[in-house]
Amino acid sequence: MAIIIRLDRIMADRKMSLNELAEKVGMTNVNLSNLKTGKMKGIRFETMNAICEALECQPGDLFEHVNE
Amino acid sequence: MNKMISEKLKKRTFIDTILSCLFCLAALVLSVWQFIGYADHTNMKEYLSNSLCSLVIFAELGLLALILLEIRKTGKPFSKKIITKLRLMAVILLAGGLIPSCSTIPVDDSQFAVTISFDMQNILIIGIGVIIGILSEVFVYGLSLQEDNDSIA
Repeated sequence: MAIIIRLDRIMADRKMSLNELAEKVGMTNVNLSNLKTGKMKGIRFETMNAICEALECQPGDLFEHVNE
Repeated sequence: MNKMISEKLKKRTFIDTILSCLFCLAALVLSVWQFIGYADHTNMKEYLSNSLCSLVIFAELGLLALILLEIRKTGKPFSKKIITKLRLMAVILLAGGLIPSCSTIPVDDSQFAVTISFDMQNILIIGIGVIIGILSEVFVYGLSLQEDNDSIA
């Protein structure tokens, strides 16, 4: 897909582990890992809001569009 | 699927599972009893017909119990196993609808006349089989929707 999720980059910036973020967001590690690796088809506003609150970032920081 | 919805579904199916298991056992006992009756009086064909009907009811309720147990185990109503069981239920009902109802009338001390008839009950059973078959196709669509929903974070 042309839209890439940059969750790993922001997590590294904030020095937050996957387990820690999963606990804060209320998701399972497996689901968050799938989201991080781009295996998910989509993301709910509810989940995006929780991630943005946990990582103190904007939704735009999480995604990047690249031309294929 | 949402964990809360799964838990609610598991709670809701608890009584249904127990009831279907109990009725399934009752149908099996009835079927065996009718078959023993047929073994004792081979001239009475209605025993055989009733035994086969009870066997169909046993198979239907058994499959229903297995479906409910599967739902209780996974918390998901849409799965390939459930769809297969629903299709099997439909096929068994369609076959069960072809079992004629028999009645034996004694002509004299040693001779019996057996009448075999297809009535509205058979058509009703076949109709229910068709409905369950259609329902299994609805479950196929439900499964694809569930898979789609599960791939959204």
